Amino acid sequence: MRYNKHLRLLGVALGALMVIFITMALTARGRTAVTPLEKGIATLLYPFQVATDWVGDQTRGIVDSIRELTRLREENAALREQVAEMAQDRALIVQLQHENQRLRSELGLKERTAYPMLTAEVISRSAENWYQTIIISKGSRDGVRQGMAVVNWQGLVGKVAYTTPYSSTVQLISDAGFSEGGFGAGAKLPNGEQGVLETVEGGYLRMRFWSTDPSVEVGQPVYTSGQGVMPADLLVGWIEEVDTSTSFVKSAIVRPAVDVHKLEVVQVVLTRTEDDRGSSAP
Amino acid sequence: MRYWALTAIVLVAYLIQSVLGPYLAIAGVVPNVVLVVAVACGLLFGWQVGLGVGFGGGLLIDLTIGQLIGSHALAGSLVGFVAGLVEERVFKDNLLLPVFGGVIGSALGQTVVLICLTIFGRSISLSEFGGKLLPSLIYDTVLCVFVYWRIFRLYAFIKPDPRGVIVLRRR
Repeated sequence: MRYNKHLRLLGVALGALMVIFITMALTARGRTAVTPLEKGIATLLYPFQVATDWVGDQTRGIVDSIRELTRLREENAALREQVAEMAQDRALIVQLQHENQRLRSELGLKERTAYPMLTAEVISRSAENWYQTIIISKGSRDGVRQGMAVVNWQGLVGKVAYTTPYSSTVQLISDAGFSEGGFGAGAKLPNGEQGVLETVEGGYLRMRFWSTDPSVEVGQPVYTSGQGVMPADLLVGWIEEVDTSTSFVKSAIVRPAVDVHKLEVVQVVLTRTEDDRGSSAP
Repeated sequence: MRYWALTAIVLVAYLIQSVLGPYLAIAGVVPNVVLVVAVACGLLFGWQVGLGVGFGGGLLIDLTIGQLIGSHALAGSLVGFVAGLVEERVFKDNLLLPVFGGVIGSALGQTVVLICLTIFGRSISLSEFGGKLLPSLIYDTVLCVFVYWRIFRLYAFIKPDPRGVIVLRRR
């Protein structure tokens, strides 16, 4: 009797393990569709994320204000009232200059890029240690589709992993799985040298060249070539180190242009994705 | 057993990890709240509850991430199950119990997730894993001590004694 019970339990455990492994295998690579359950959960989470983002901003604002106040008080004690007022004015000017510069950069990006862009705010980051993702405030209702490139004024940020009606999850270029699912198809240098990119440790990328004797130098910019899911001519990063080994495939380490830890506002490149292109894809 | 209270605990843990997790990150390490709750529930209520809590919470995390669905559910249920196996052999008010539970649970859970990631082709190097594991272990252990004592306080409420409450009165 007891033996049968243990046998049944073992069977249930093995069955559950098998189901879990099949589910993992089915969801390990980039998927074209998200289940209604996942969409529902993401949509339910959205108001919490927005509220937390708002509370975070407010808290940051309060903390910044307290810091600013303390600084001004110290200056006030040292330089009296008039100097303190000037310092306050100066702080405001710096803040406005910074904001102005950022807005100009965003505007400049929109003007110098041929693709239509959609501005989105970063509302949350990955809640897990092994994935590098962000959640942005625009979703499928705004025209965002899976696979679309996401950039900011510095360069390529990542690609849309999946969307919900109100938000989207963006897989950053620093994510270990980013080079899967088509991104690896193309990158190029200004002199026409082409290759493929893959993510390596520490958030860097490795560019493997097609040519066995590529003309490459440290400091050269790397752009997307337009082969694969990414549109062409998006700045990916800069050549940091050229591999001088004698191996057949030549490669170079690329430092991403974007600082993925300081993302506040991003642009979604509204190009047609592989799904939209269908069989007429070039 | 008040299962609705356990469900509420899982949901709160999930919300804290998925919504507040990025804000609670220290040096890029996000606390594994769901894993820690599975350990605490396993240690307090046994392997069935630990397994259920770990599986439910882990599955919610998996569905939020949207990739490799099942990896966190597997890690959570395994950790909750292992923690629950020692439930009858330990004193629940031992101060060191949540400390050991946090260290072993966090290490086991994250190793299971890493193995799943490796099996299904996501290359995370051992040096990167080692670099994140130690701060994560410390963070999760501190969190486990806190979470364990919070749930320990609710023990009598979640699992009321079937014989009722004994009231002592002075003569």
